[in-house]
Amino acid sequence: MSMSADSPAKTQRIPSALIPILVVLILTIMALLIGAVAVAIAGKSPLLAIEELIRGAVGTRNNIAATLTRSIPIVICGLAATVGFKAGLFNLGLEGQMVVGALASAVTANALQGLPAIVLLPVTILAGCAAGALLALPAAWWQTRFNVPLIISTLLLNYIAVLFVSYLVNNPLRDLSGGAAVPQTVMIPEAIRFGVILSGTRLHAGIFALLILPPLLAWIFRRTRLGYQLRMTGLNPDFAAYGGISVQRMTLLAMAASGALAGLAGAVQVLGVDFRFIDNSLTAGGYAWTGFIAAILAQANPALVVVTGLFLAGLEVGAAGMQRNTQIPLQIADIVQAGIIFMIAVRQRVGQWLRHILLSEQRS
Amino acid sequence: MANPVPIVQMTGIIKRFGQTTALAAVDLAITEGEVHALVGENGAGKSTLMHILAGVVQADHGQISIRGNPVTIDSVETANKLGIGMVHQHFMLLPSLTVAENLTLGREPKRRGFFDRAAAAKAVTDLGERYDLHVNPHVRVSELSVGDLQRLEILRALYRGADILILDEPTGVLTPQETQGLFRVIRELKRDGKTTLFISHKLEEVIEIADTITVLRDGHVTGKPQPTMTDSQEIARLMVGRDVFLEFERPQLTQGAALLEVAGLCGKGVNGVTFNVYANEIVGIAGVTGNGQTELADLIAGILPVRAGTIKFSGKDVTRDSVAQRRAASLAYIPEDRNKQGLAPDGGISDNLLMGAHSRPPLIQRGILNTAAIRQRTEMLIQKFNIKTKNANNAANTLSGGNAQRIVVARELADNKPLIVAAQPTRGIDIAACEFVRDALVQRRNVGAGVLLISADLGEVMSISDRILVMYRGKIIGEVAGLFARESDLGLLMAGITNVNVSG
Amino acid sequence: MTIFDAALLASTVRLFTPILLAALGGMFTARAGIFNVALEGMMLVGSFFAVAGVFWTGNPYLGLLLAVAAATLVALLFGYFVIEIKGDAVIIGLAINIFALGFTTYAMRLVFGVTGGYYDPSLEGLPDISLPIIRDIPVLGTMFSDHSILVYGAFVIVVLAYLFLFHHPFGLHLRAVGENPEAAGSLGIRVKRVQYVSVALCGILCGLAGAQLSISLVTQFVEGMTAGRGFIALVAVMFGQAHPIKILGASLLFGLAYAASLRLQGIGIPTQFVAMLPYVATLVVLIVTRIRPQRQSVKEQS
Repeated sequence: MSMSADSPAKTQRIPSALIPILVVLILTIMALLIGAVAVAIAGKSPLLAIEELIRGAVGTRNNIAATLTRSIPIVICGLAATVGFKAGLFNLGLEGQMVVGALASAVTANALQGLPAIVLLPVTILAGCAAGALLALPAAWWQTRFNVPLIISTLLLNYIAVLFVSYLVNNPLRDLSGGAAVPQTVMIPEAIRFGVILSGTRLHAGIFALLILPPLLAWIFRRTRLGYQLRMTGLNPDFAAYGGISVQRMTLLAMAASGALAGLAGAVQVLGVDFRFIDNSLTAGGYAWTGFIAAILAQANPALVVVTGLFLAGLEVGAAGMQRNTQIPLQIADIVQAGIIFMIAVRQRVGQWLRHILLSEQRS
Repeated sequence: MANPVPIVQMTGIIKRFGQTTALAAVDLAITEGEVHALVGENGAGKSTLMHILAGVVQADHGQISIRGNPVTIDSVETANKLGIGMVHQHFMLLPSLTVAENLTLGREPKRRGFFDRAAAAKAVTDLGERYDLHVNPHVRVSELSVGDLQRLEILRALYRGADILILDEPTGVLTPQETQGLFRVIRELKRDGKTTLFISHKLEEVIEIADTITVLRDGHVTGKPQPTMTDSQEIARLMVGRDVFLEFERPQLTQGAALLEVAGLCGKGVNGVTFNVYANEIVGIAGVTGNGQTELADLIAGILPVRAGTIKFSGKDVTRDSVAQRRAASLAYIPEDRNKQGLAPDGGISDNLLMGAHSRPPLIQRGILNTAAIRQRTEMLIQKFNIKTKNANNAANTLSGGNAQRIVVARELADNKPLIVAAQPTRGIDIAACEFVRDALVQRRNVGAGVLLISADLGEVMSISDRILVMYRGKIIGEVAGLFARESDLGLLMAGITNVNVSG
Repeated sequence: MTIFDAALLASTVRLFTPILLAALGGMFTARAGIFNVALEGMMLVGSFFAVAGVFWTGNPYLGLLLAVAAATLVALLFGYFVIEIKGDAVIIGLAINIFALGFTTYAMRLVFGVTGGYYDPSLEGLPDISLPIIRDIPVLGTMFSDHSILVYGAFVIVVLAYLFLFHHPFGLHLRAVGENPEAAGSLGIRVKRVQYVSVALCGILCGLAGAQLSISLVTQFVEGMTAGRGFIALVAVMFGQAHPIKILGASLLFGLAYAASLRLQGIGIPTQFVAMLPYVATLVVLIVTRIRPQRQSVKEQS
């Protein structure tokens, strides 16, 4: 009993694996339409906006480099969020974890600068990861022990961490030489700074993280016992506990890993872009939140996070370029991102609708 | 004698849910003042048919007439106005609100726009007087007993002016004595001119209380046996289409070693329980749900912490052991709520089959999953336990209840653990799957396992247990040998009454 | 210089009002079974449109009205995606917050032509109303008089909310829907309609909360000016177990934390630590009281 009235030639078999990707595409287009509406309200031409947006993102060699550079912290934070999602956890504290990770690595690099670069670099990175993990762990502990919802505790810790780090950078750790307007720390030793891989741009070696981390994470989730335990905890904690998995341990591990990755994002920014910790530079960029959205859009799939992270980075870089040329405020990017999340809620319906239209009918 | 116009006439009712046809042109005629039983197994369509009558869902095709007048029942409100009220299987009550508030919810008496508490309380007591169904109006519903909850539900239907009462599986949560109490109420209502529609799969009860029986199978009416002239076998055959094994043949075996020793166990809901389970036997724990059985199972499995007492598996004290440790040695556990505890509904069948075995070689080597070995095991289990699926990676929630339970049973019985705890293993699944599960447990018992069966279905407990323990308010208050158990004796024990000589 | 004096209490009352109002709004959605993390975004939108309203019309009360309308619209958007589309309330709530932040910053550029913050001393905010008899009572007078109408309104709303929730049939319906939507639906209560009403009420209250932030005391809008108050209000709802009187108490506690942090800034403790006080206080409350969020029952409807 086929429900399609189409002629036989039209009911082709589209592999159902393609459907999630099509869904993401449709959702993104719908979100862009929302952005177009916001632009129209501002009295400007949406077509012009899109044109400038695309040019700003990928129109020139420099722009592409800017997009790629921006995508690095976004994707790493997205992976941090993904680790949390897999275990069923909402880590909204990525921003705070990123910031403490950045500061910790900047401070460590300077404090231990006597060490040979080959040792100093990994130690610096580890310091950043450790700081992020240490900020995330209390929230995990409070949830398992005291029922404090992660959503709220990680958010509150965000505010607290950012304020605390701001204090440190304004006072004891401030670099008073050079008379910079913004509080910042001393620069890190040259030896460990990430080299630029595309001359004339700021695109640095950190981009390789995007090639290494996603497959590594995917492998851990699919092929290891720990990955299985984390996934089952995320799918149904009662089931996991019933099967002998310690949900408490999984929560702590997942949050520590998530925080560590966010801290890594901060460390990479310090090592590759700023070469010091600059108050507000990481929060102003909104990398952590964009990364979070990238993870939601990618449905917590590590490989897909790279794609969505690149897309959102392009959106933001393009919007900045668009603002320079058309005076349309770059916050359009934020509006589109919010629109994307709304569309995600509709994802189920869109997926069902696509299945209905494209796939030939299958009997249950 | 001319046939009176039926108070309810449903003709040609068709209802589909997506691809499944729940009702395929069903006709039903109810005479005023009768007790009419609708019988069928899970998924036969009896609840759906009544939901249509009660306005909860709408039929795709068909006609309904009330007292000879064709009507369209498009909502619960409309049904209420026609005098139809339904008491659902799962109580539709609000625990934090009082009895009076629950009774009048949706039809509140008002005084100057505000809720008139006094009038609501009066309604409770007035109705209670009239139908001999007494409940205290000011008490919070969370504090009522199960029997009271049911009384309140019936009162509410009457408050809303029901002349036609639909009771959906009302005796599932009652002891045999409470069931008799319900039957008294039904007869009282009948004397008052009310019509009662009684959905059940408990065949003995149906024969006892009903004036008319309609049997449904797969959305069709398969028969209308006369209560006075039929028996459970015949009704069961109409329900399923073939002969059904209601009694399980099993060889008498001598008890083996003690596989489970529980002594003085205290924990949440359990107040000092002592018993053993030996090899080659099935120990059934009977009791109305809510007397600590669920917690007992979770305590034995290690999911709930023990406050006092000891638990031993094959002589080894496991009281302080974790869930993983208990499973590793000897325990298989079929939990009561498969969707909450027994499965990850959004997870793949393969992932669901792996749980519990995910820590041991050869499926795991040095922390890494051996995908080839896992796939082999998955395929073997799907075959052996007849799990109907095309793809081992489909999500568990795409399967029917019975099929999903097969996943749980397959997983738990896969590794031949000596001790099996099965809590409500046949709840909410089709008869074929029920038979399958019970058969699997008996088979394991025959080859040396010890099974602890916890079930609210007294018939099930009686049909496969070697020994039956009855649980009441967190304690074991009686033990009966399986072969000599009588339902009436067990019923008294289930209600907490122990000063009667129990045979066996 | 004393830390605790009448002036501190007065500023507590003023500062706790946005939290109280938002928490009362959150209470309605919580009672309907919706886990609402979007209080922050609704408030922020209210804050912006309050200032914009004053800017456009010169009348603070019209600004108040505009704030309420805008916040309610945003709330209904939230409601639509959660109730109708059945999206995950947490994700939708986060989306609303992100949208509100982006949109208000965007709009601030468009309407006022500035970034960061907008302040115009010539704009007239909500006037302080002096209560004739009360103002002369020592201590209590300083505490309770000379506030904007929203502060007095908040206390009145607490009483109204209590009456509504526990003594009015609709309040009964609301509590039923939140506790067991299936049961409520089976009794003929229109569950979705009840939930939409709760969301609208939340929007109205958050609009008022946002206006109290931006057009009482000083008239200004700063990017992201709610700074987490929406989440603190959410904790007040949890701590107060969605009960109006208890929420009043919880909000007072958090208001005190804000007032104390303002006061302490003068003493030589670094501003960042002082600014942390409300967030730390909220965390402490959460840890010490081990409260659970209200059950989310939107998904349990068929």
